[in-house]
Amino acid sequence: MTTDMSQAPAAFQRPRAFSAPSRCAPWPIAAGLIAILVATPLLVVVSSLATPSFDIWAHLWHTYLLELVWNTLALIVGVGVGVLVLGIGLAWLVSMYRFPGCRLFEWLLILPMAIPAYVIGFVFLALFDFTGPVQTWWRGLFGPKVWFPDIGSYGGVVLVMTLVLYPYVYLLTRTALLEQSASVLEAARALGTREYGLCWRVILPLARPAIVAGLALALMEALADFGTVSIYSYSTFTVAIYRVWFGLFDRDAATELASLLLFFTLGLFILERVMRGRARFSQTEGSVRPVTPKRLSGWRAWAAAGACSLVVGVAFILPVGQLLVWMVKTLGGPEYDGRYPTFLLNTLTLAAVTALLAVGTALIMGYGLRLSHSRLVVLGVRLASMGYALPGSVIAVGVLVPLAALDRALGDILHRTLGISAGLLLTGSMVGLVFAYLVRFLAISIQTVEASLIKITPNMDMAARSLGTGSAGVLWRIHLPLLKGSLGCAAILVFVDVMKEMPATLLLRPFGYDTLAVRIWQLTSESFWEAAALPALTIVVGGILPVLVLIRRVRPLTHTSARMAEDMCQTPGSQ
Amino acid sequence: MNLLRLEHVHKCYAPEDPPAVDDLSLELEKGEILALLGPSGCGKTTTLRLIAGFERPDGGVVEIGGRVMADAYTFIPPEQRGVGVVFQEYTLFPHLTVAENIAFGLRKLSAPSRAQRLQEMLDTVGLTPFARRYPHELSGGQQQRVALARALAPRPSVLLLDEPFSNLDADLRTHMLHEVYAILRELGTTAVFVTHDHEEAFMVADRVGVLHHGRLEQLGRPEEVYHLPASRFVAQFVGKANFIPGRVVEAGIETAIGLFANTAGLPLGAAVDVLLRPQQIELIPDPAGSATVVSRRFRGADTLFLVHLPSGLLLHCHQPSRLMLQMRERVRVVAKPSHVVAFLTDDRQP
Repeated sequence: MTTDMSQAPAAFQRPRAFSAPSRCAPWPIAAGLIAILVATPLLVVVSSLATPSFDIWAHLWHTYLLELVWNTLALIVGVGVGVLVLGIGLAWLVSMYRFPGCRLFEWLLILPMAIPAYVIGFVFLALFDFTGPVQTWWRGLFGPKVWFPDIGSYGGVVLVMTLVLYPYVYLLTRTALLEQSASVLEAARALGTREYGLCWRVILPLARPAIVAGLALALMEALADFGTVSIYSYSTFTVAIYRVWFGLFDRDAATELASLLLFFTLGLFILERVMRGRARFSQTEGSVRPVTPKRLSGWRAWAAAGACSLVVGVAFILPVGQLLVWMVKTLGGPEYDGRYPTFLLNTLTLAAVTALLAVGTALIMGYGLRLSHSRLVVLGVRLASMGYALPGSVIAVGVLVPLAALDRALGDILHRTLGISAGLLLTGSMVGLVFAYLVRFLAISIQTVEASLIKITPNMDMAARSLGTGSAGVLWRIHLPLLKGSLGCAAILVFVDVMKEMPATLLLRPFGYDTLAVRIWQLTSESFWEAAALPALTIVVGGILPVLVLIRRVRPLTHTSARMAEDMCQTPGSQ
Repeated sequence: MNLLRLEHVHKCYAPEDPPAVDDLSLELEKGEILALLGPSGCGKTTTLRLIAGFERPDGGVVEIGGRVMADAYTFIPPEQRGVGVVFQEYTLFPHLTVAENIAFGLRKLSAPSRAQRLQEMLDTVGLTPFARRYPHELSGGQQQRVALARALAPRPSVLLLDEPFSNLDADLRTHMLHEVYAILRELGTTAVFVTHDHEEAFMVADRVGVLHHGRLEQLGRPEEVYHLPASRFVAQFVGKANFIPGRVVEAGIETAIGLFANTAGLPLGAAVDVLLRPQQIELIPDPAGSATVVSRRFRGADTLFLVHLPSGLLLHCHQPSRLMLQMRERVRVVAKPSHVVAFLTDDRQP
């Protein structure tokens, strides 16, 4: 989403924080060091692409490389089409028309975002599989030989992912549609465009950058997914990396596979940039008179409401309802796992530690960037924000390889100097896991912190400095209180993403250290659907938190786009 | 003793840009109020930032209270300079109350003396009833007072004000101008303030420095700057100016509207422009006069006329509003300068 920079006052002709050197240098340097550290896994994986090992590639080629590439491409295309149709269609309905319940649907349609794909995936598998209740009931009606679509197929994977990922396209498209000015549409009408032509010739082209951004986000999630494709036995890169790593203990092959997956991600990144072009189609200058939605009546109104209900029902109410039923069933029964509190505690610990670190790190980087606009620091911060585009499996591999090397070196030193064999100190420790999370999710907190820091005028820093406060004091006495809301927001977002993250946790967790996501994976890969309901619901409840934040952030849009800033994460400094 | 001294200060933001401040030197005595005047982009705000320590000069020396703040080897950061700053948009800390804002710079004091100083400042700016309010609950003028009190509370050796009145509407502006002036005088504060409004500068300052393209074109008392401008630019910037072309002869300076005394001793035969303020010109209705009234703007107390001379020159003149002249009416132009200011024509700046 774009940040409104117009609030930065043009008081001093050059709105920079400081040109004064010496005193402020520690912050940019700290930011640079963190950037290097966080970018290491990415560089490790990229460098393996630059130094391909021929044997491994030959082996991969003969075995499953083609299948992997084909499956991954098919997944991207299928999910891409799915999220575009659902996302644009629903955004169009709720922002251009008025029909019964449209206000409610506006935010109900965001809810599926709260459910990780692997959760909805296993619920659907349980419900619609051959032995599931739906097919059993169907055969009861039409006899044992009756045809039923196979949920555990390509189609099933695409359906599941589409249902949880369409909100990205929906949200961004809706924002773009609401920001459109009525006068542009009137101008087009005056120039002779028919009403239905407006859609194709004006509205959708104007919303294109937003649509493409949403699509790219959704597809990056699809590429990163491990849980769903794994239980649907649909081989993509993430599954292959896991199998090669744990099945064959072949690190080099896993690294090569990770680098190829990275290639796909990079492709998406470039595609997004190219498709968006240099366009920044927003009419934020002056006040925008929003388009007045058209009131639907009769069967059209009910059809619109029905379509929205269907999506909300299938993507949210059905899976959550089923999980609730299962959970109630297992809670009192013998299937309840007494270790659940431990899993919960493990998950919360990891999520809390990472969220805290991510917010602290983001604050250092944001402040470093504020004090120094040297190209190096800017590049470092951008590089550190790349992690969000990387699938967890890629990051896990990128973290493991250097960590193992570090462990070997450490072990050597300890052995030689003290004569003890320390074993693996870092690999398979919490350090490695939290670091991987940090690499993956730092971008979220950096983005949030940066967006709010920009709203604090540089003169605020100067005012405090001229009153005798040093650079650390400014951070502590001015920025921290002003950023409280946004920092909380960033922490929630990171917290929930860590709760959901599956592949990195599986690859890096300390032995026997199970989290909710890991537990779901273990249970679902052996088809213990009902037992997986409790951990899954826990994650869904957590996942609703950031969605609520999002809703708060999005809702003012219904009035004017200018009010968008007045969200929960707003800093009091921008009044 | 000079409280503030800038010596050959130079600042350039980017190598490809012209310097923002170019070889600037000035000195300020204790208790003196200096106005830095100039159009936007003239380097006046940069000068302020250099004094405050928000920018490091590329060359030259900045001294406050006899202590070197910045030169080739030294750079004292702003928090150690003891300089107060009032910003154009006040930049109050939005998460702190009025009292907390004012006390922000008083951390080093003990609790009782902090409370005492806070109360003094609240009284000075008359905001005691608003001490517990937050900045966004205050009017523009009140915010301005908080900003002033906050900057003055730690007893800075110099107070810097960056276009402090430009965010206020016209009525409030004059009011605040007088109020701030009174406070500064009462406390004997040494202050530098930046403005692009010459009337503001003339009203408040002991001395005015006019900046143009990063250079200090003139530094002097307001009267000096207005009546004896050092350059064509200064003459035009501090008020409406007519330039009448002439030539230096034995008897003085010969122009289309008469002879002026060559008080500056300009070389014989030189082509010069004589500066005449609109109120230094008198128009006398005369059918035989050579000038024609081409525009007339009645302003209440006076009327602004534009007259056309046969040479093609247009003159602005203020006349008492009792003088009724019709459009196209013939008039005689009489110049009555108390002193003559003339610039060499070749000096004309592009």
